[in-house]
Amino acid sequence: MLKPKIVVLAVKETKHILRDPRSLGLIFLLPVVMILLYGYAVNLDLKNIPVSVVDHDRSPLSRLIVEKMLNSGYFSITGQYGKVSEARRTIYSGRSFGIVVFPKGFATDAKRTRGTHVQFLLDGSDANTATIASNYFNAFISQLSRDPFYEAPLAVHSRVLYNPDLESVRFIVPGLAGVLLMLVCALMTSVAITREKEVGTLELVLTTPIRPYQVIIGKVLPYIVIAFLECLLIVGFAHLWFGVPVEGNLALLLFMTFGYLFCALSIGITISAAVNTQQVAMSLAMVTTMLPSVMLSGFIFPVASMPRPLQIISMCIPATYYLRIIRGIMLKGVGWAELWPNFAVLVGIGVFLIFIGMKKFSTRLS
Amino acid sequence: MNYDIQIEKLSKNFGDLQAVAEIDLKVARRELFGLIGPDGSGKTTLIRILVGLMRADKGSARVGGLDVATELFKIKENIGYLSQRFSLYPDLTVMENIRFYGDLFQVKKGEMREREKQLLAFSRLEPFTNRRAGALSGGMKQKLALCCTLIHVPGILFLDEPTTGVDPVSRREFWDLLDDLRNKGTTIFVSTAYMDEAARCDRVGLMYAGKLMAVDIPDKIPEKYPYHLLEVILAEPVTKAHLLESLPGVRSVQVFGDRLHVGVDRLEGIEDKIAKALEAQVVTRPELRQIRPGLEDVFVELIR
Amino acid sequence: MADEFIVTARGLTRTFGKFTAVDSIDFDVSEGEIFGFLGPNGAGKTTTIRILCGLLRPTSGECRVDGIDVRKKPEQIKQRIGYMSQKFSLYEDLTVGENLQFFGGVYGLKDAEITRRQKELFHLLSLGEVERQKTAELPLGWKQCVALASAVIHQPKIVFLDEPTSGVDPISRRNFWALIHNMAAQGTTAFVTTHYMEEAEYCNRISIMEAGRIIALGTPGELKKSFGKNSVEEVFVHLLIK
Repeated sequence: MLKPKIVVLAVKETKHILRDPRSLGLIFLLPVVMILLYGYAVNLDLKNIPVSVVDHDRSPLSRLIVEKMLNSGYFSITGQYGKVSEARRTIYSGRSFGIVVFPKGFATDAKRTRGTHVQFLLDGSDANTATIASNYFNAFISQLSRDPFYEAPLAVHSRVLYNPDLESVRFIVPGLAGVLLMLVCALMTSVAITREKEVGTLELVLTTPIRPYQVIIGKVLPYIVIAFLECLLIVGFAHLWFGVPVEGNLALLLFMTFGYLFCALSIGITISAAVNTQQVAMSLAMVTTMLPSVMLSGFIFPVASMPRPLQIISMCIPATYYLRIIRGIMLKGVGWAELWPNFAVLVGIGVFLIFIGMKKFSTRLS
Repeated sequence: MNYDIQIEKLSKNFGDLQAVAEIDLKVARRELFGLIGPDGSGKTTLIRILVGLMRADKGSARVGGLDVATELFKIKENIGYLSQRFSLYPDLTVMENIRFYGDLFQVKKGEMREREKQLLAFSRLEPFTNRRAGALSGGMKQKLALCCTLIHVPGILFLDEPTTGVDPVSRREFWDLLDDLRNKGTTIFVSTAYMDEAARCDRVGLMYAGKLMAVDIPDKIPEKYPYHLLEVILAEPVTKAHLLESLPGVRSVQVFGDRLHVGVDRLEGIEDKIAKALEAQVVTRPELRQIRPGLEDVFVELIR
Repeated sequence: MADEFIVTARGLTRTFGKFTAVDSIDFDVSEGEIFGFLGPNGAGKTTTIRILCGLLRPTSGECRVDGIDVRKKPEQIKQRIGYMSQKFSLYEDLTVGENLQFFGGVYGLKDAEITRRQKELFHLLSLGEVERQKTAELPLGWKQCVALASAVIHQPKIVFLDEPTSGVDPISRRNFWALIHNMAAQGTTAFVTTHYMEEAEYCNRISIMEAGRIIALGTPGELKKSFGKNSVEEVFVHLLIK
């Protein structure tokens, strides 16, 4: 039987694919992992949203409502505070997402016909979650108030802090900065180093009296500069074009950004130490940086709502920490005192990865 | 006697494959040593071990008196390496490539200018100083690569098949450069698959399947040929070779271009026997004479 | 018979912008001839071969391969030629058998034919039981033989060999050339480029190209005589040394 040439080529191509374990992994394993991972992460259902409570009334009713809030599963209580100003610090530092305030006389007013209200203060720096949380809280309270106990419906007075109009651009652009910077650094450096490996130019350099760390740092330095300029570009654009405020200290933001860039570069270096071709470097960089940074860092989908294993992964993603830094400084005016732990984590991850990357590099060459 | 390269029982395996099998070798200062052998014989692996790109599994090697396993960093200051692949930057110019390596070796500015001029003249690349390396022809690329390895004036030069795929004229020019370098004091360790280049070396090592089959000066290598060698000039030697293979007293028949090289035990009476065997198929009586075995004859016998 | 020659070229020229890669060359190749194509890199050899394979259109001049006009019907040429290059010929992750199956299929051979040719070629090349071996695991000399087999599986009238024995050990090289001679004896024309000057001696006729022009053409004997040299290499060096 005469085989059509198309079939001949297709058969050969299939053989190549089946014999390349990497392709197979990419085709079958990766999508499954991704679907599981992101299926759980991409979650517009809120769960365990951390809120603080300020109860001026301290009545059995207010306490009952708080208990019901907890039991609903939608919210988790960060703490109870005497004053709103105290509770605001939890939003400022990012520990909680909203504040539920019961005014004095809440219980007594509830039995009266004029009704009463609960105040809900929201962190507008994450406009997405804010909107959804607001809806949830409203629904929750309105369901509660159907209880015949209440003479009049309970009202919710919502107020959004830091981003009063809930402009999504304000919360997306800083997050975008985090993703883009990670991309530039990790992708570019991993590809640049593996490209030299592939072409063979790296080898020649290694026969000269040079230490591996000199090669790597020398190669990577221009990318730090480029990434830094890119950060300036993004922040400048965000501020001047989109009107995203810079409530906090710009110099602090730039300083802390260096920590993030350092971390991103170290990821790039580790990848390039482990792989030999640009293609694999790119795929690996994409999978380990871009996607998790978008999906699991809290950029769009709230981490608090994710299942515990994903939350743990989120803790390992540099973008998670940078997001807090950049949103904190730009939208909430947060300072060094609250943000330094995030910076420390970024630098720590960076140092750790560079250490591993360097070790791998040295052993390979000998 | 000063030995710039000392290799002792050096071995390297890749899984089951023995790439380098217990090599013992000494190369003296200012010697031009040629490692000859086909692809896959282990030449590249050996050189990569000597320049520190690979670690040997067993044995030891000293370059410039220093141990490759422990004093590699110091060794690198005194050696130059040219790999089979073109390893320079195609998007940088000739001058930029040379300067880059000069800076890596921390050559001082004054000396650098001096040497750049010399090297460009020496390799006849002056007219191409500002051309991108990627735009050079194959032969020129190799010359540029040579300049880059020489910018820091190394005492020992390692060249891995520098003339593969290059036409004979460019090859000759390249070897003229190597002669010149050796005369000026550089020790050169070069590998090649071209037998004719062996003749230009001070000493030659024949390598096959990871082993050194023979090491000697080119003139003495022929002595390793085990038989008497006869050359038979005739038409279409390839098709006639089989006629002689089963003749008693004939040990080997190899085709060499337009002639046959026949290895025989004894010379007496063999000419007539050969002529007779060829009679049926050859019209005119072929030219027959005894010749001195060449490198390739020896090599073929050693690996058979 | 239309042509006594299997390849003819008259005034064959190919330019790339201002650069003339092939400059008005003339030559003929007879059927069953082993034709050697020598010259430094960049002389125009590869361009010429591409034209002969139907991969590149000539800028001007005439060129016929097996009677087919290269300018008018390049696609038709492909079925009648085989091509083997030093840089790539086989798929490393396929077995020898799979490689031959593939090339056979690409040339439109039926399965039964492929099997038959495979047997013939294995016997001719004394390849033994390599059918199931992964190509990547073969020694270089054997790979070259398998590459040649895949280039001639469809019994082309002319086969182009681009530096086929580069780096191969001397014994395998001889075997390879013995094969070429066998094929030539059976009527296949071989067009070979090489940098090993002694291989040029094996050819029936050779041509030396430089800067797009043919500067010498004839049998090795003729060339040696007319330039008064003992080997093709010396002729080559004499002609090209500046």
